[in-house]
Amino acid sequence: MAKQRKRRSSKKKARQSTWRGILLRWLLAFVILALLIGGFALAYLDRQVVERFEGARWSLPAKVYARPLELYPGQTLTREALRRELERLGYRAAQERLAAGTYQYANNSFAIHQRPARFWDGEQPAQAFRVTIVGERVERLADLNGKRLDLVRMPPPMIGSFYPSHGEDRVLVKLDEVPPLLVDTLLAVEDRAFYEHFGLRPAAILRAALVNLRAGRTVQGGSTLTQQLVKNFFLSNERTISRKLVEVLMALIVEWRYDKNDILEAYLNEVYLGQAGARAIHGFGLASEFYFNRPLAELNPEQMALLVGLVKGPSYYSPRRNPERATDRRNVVLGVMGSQDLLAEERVSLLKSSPLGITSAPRSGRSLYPAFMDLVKEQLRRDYSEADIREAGLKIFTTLDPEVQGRVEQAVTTRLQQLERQRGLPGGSLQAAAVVTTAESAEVLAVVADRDPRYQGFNRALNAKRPIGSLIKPAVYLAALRQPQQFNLLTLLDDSPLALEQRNGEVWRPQNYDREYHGQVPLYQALAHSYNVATVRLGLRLGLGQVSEVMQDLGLEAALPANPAMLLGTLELTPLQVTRLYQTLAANGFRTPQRSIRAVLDARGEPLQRYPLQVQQRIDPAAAYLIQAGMRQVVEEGTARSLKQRLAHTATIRGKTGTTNDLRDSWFVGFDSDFLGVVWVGRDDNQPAGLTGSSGALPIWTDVFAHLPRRHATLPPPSGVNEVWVDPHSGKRLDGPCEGALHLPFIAGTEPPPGGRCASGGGAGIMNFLENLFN
Amino acid sequence: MPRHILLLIALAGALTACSTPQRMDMPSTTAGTPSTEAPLSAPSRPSATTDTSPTVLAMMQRADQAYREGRLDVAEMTLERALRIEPHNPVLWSNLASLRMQQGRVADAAELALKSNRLAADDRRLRRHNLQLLHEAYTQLGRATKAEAVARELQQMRP
Repeated sequence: MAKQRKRRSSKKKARQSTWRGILLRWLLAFVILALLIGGFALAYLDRQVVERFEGARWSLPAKVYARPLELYPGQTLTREALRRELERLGYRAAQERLAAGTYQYANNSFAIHQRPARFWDGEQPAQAFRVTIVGERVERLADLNGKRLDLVRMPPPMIGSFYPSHGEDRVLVKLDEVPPLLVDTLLAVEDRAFYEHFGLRPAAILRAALVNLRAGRTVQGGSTLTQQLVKNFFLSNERTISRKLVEVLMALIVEWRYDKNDILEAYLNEVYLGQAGARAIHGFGLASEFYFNRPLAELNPEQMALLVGLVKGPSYYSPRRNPERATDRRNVVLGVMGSQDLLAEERVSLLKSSPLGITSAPRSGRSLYPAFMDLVKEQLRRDYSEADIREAGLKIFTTLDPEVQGRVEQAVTTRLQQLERQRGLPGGSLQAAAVVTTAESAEVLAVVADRDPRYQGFNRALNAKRPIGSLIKPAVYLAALRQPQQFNLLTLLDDSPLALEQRNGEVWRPQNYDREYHGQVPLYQALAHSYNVATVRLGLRLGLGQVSEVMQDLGLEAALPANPAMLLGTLELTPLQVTRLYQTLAANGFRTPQRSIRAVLDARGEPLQRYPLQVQQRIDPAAAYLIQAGMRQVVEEGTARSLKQRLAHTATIRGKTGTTNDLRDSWFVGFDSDFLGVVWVGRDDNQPAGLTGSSGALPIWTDVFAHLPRRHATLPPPSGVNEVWVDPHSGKRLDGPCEGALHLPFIAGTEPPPGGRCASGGGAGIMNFLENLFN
Repeated sequence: MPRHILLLIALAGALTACSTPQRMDMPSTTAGTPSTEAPLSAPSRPSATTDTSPTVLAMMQRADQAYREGRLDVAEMTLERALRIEPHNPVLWSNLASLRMQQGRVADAAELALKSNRLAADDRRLRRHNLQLLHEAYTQLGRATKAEAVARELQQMRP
C-alpha cells in the first residue's frame, strides 16, 4: 500500500515535472523564436535602411542633356537663338575678363568662353571662340586669335535629372552647399534638439500624444527629422501603431548607423515639398527651382522660410494653390527665425509683409520637358536591362532641340486658345499633341503632350490612341503606286456612289467630306482632296492585304484588321506611332528607327550604349517618290492648300490632313527634306471638337515650320523615275511647262502618251511660243 | 532540441547570410581594329546637288584619320555629326556604309549603301562604289539573287 502510494506520488511528481519541463521548453523555444524573428526583422529593417540610405546618398541621379548646339559657318542661326542657348547653359555676360562660362557681345559678334564638357566621344576642353552672326546666318567662326574654325560644339544644356529606378527628379545638394540660415531655420522649426537626440524625443512624443488626446485629433507632431526622413524614404502616410513602431525602429537604426550631418543631408534631399501633376518634388534643391526658379544658394530669407514651412504640409500650404495659408505659414516660420535670433526682428516684421515671390512657371533648365522625358525613359526601359539603368550617375545625351521644342509649345498654346475663341468653344476644352523629328535620321527634336507643356500628366503623344482617319490614305495610294503597270499618279479612279453590303447585312455608303461625288478623278487628285469613296474603291480593288503590307513596311507592328472601314482610318494610333509610319516616307522609303537618345555614358564617362544611325529600305525609292509627289499636291491644291498663305517656300512640303468621324480628331502630318511634324488636336472626352485636319492641326504645324531652319532642298528623283509635264485634264504629256500644267513623276516606261494641251490652248514648249508670237 | 527549432535557426542563419547582389561590370563597346588599307572616304566628284561645305570636308578628313588609326567608334560619331549638318550628302552615307562593313555589320552596310545611292543622283563614280560595296555585302550575307542583280547593274554601268 505504502509502496503504491509512494509510486503514485512519485509518478504524480514525475508527471508534474514533465509538464513543467515541457512548458519550460516551449517557453524557451518561444523566446528563442521571438528573438530570432525580432532579430530577423531588425536585420531586415537594417538592410532596408542601408539600401535606401546608401542608395540615395551615394547614388547620383541620371543627368539628361539636350542636343549640343554645334556652330559652323553658313549655319542658319539667329543671335536671339544663340542668346537663349547661352542662357540655358547658364553662361553670363562677362564683366571684365572672359572667364569660362561667360560671353561678350559686340557688333554682331559673340566672344564665348566655353566650359569643358564631356561628350560621348570624349572630353572636350574649355575653349574660347568668336562667332559672328549676320541676319540669320553664322558668317564666321574663329578662335580668339582670329584663326578660322570650321566647327564648334557647345556643351549640351542639362534638361533634367532622375533616378531611373523610380523616375523621380532630384537636385542633389551637399550639406555645405545649403545656406546655413536654411538649415538653422529648419532645425529651429522642426527639430531643435536634432544634434542631441538619439533619433527619438520621447518627451516630445508624450507631450504631443497628450495634446492630441485632449484635442481629439492630431495637432502636434513629435517626430524628429530622423523619423521624418524614414517616413519619406519608405513609408506611406499611414498612421497606424505598427507603422509608427517600424518608423521608430528604423529611426533608431539610422541614428546608430549614420552621423548627424549625413542624416541631415539625406533629409534635405528627400523631404517631400510639393507636387507638379504626377511629378513629386523631393528635396530643397528641386523645390527651390520649382517654386522660385533659382538655385538654393540664391534664396532670400523669406523664400527659405516658405520652403521650411512647406515641410509640415506641402499640399495644405501649397503657395500656388493656397497662397493665403502659405503666407501665414511662412510668417510663422519667420517668427521662429526672429525668436531664435536667426534674423533681426525688424527684418522679420518687414519680410512678413512681402509677397510670396513664387514664379508661375519654372525657368528653362530642370525637367522643363516632362513629355520628352517620358520618351527618354521609355527608350531607356526598352533598350537597356534593369541592371544597366539602375547604375548611378548615368549621363544621357538626347536629341531634344530646345529651340524647336519652344516653337512647338508656343504654337500649341497660342493656336488652341485662338481656336477656342474663334469657334466659341469652352476654354480649355481642346487638347493637342505634337512631335517633330529630323526627316532623314529620325531624331526626335520636340514632343508636346499637353496644351500646358509643363504639366506632367497623361502623355498624349506617347499614349493617346486615336483613329487616324484620312492619314491612312497615303498607304492605300502607295499600295497602288507599287503596281506601276496598273497605277500611276494620273490613273483615273472612280469617285461615284458606292454601296457595300457588310457581313452583318447592313449597307455601308461611304461619303466624301463635301457630301458630293466627283466621278472619274486622277489618282493624285483623289489623294489631294482626300476623297473617301475613291479611296475605298481603290483599296478594295487592291485588296486589304496590300494596304496592310504597306503599313507594315512603313513600320506598323500589327497587321490591319481586314474590314473596309479600315481604308478610312478606323485604326487607332498615338501621335508617336503616326510619326514612325510617316518617318519612312520622309526618309524616302527607308525605315529609320526613332531616336530620342544619342548616347549614354556611365558615371565614369565610358560609353554605355550608343544608338547608331540605322536605316532599312522598306519602300522602293521610286514608289516613295511618287507618293511624296501625291502628298505635294495635298499642299499645292488639296486639303492643306491654306498652308501656302501662311508659309513661304512650300514647294518642298508634303503633307496629309486627317479628320475623323464627326470631327472628333484633327490631324496633320507634314514634312520637307529636313523635318517631319505630326500634330493632333481633339478633346480628351472624345466629343466632337468641330475641327478638320486643316482647321485644327494644320495651323499649329504651320506655326512650327515657319520657324524651323529649313534648307528647302529638293532631292532629285531616284533612278528609274522620270518627271514630265502633264496636262491634268487629258492626262497626256506636254512638251514643257505652261499654264495649268503639272510636273509629275512616273516610273520609267509608264509616262503618259503625248498630246496634252495647255490651259491657254497651245501645246506648250517652243512651238507654242512661236505660235503665239505669230498669232 | 526539437527538430523544428533547429530548422528555424538554420533558416534564419541562411537568410542573414545572404549577401547583397553584386554590381556587374559593364562591357565596353569598342570595335575591333580594321585593315586600314582602303581609305574611308568614298571616291566622289562633287555632284550637282551636293556642294560639300568646308566644315563637312574637314569632318570627313577627321573621320578618315580616325578610321586609319583603328578608332572606328570615333570615325562613326564624326560621320554622324557631319550628317546632321548635311543630311543629304551621299558621300557621308557611303562612308558610313564602308565603316559598317569594317565593323562587321554587313546588313547595315548594305542598307546605308542603298541610302547613299538614293541620294547620289548622277554621281557615277559614287554609285559604282556603292554598288561594289552592295555586291560584297550581299555575297557575304549569302543573298545570291541580290548579288547577281547588283553585278548585272554594275555591268550595265560600264561605258
